Amino acid sequence: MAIAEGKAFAQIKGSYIKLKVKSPPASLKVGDHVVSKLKKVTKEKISSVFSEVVNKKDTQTQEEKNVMAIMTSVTQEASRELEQLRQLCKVDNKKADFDTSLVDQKNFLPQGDQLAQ
Amino acid sequence: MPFNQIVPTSQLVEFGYIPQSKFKVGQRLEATYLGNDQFSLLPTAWKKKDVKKGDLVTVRFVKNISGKGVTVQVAHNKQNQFGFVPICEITDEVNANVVRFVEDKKVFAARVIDFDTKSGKPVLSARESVVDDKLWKFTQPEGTSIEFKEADEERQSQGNLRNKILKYGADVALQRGDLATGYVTNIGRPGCFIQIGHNCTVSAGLNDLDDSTSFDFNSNMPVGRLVVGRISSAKEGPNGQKRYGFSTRQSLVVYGVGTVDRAKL
Repeated sequence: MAIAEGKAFAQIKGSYIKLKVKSPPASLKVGDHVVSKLKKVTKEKISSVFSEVVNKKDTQTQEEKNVMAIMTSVTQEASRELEQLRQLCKVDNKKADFDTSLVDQKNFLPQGDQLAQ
Repeated sequence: MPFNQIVPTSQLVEFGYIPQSKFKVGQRLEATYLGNDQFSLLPTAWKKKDVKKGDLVTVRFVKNISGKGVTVQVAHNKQNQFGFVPICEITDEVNANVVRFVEDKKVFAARVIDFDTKSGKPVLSARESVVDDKLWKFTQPEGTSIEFKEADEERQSQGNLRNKILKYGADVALQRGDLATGYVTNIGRPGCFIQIGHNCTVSAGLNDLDDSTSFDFNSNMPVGRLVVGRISSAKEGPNGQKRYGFSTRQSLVVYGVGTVDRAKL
């Protein structure tokens, strides 16, 4: 969920698809899991009206909870060894060949009102 | 090692002891001295002239090849035979620093799973489920698919597809949406390359590494990092071999990929 100037945008669960959520409550924050009713679907954009905020833990299936647990344990284990790995692999991260300008911002939830038209 | 020392079973693993072996009290064990105060309890430690696929051998850690795996010395009659253990074939455990893991072991058991096409050197796996004879009989080509599925199902559900890839090859074993764990083997301008199994490297574009645009790629994705993700795409390459896209974004890993078909909306 991303919020900008009273408009909210969400990513459909399990996909890259983004949609605009109209009439969000003031208490809504980034990362909230919400249900919204689709209003308009075109090739360019999808817009919907906010219905309710759902509790993440209650709505996750058992499989999703298991995967979340696996991901948490792997991420924790990886984070613990990050510094040592950097030294071990002798990779100078400042010179790592990443070019963040190549990140396609359209594939992320918009920071501003990217989809608000 | 002094002869009067009592060695616990846990320590025997370092000498090539296979956990499923059963010993009787008072039974004499034959050990092979490998040099440098190290022994092997494997019956094949020194008797074989050549190794072939499926052989269980004792190996000694030689050096780490950054982000790729470790070079090992294979203990048998042919002097100075070296082999290679790919980074994802070192252990089945969720271990973020596999190099230290084998450095600490020094000498350990491994199974020959392939031979390098260029050098002819053996490629080995030291993963617990491959070294274990009981599980290997299902993973090897002679093992039936049904028995293998039963034996490996739990590992696969936890994102360990390495046995499945080893048995069937990546082209057959993998499909879009599969959960997999692996290690970053290379980084470049478009993103990361992640090895999730033997002869199976998938690519994760910069957009697919994290949900946040502010994710610090430079410091968080060093070569050798352990990651979990899902196969986000499978495309056929120019040589007919499949190329797999991989995503480590939490929103896709937890909820799956391709769960919404936009064409049906």
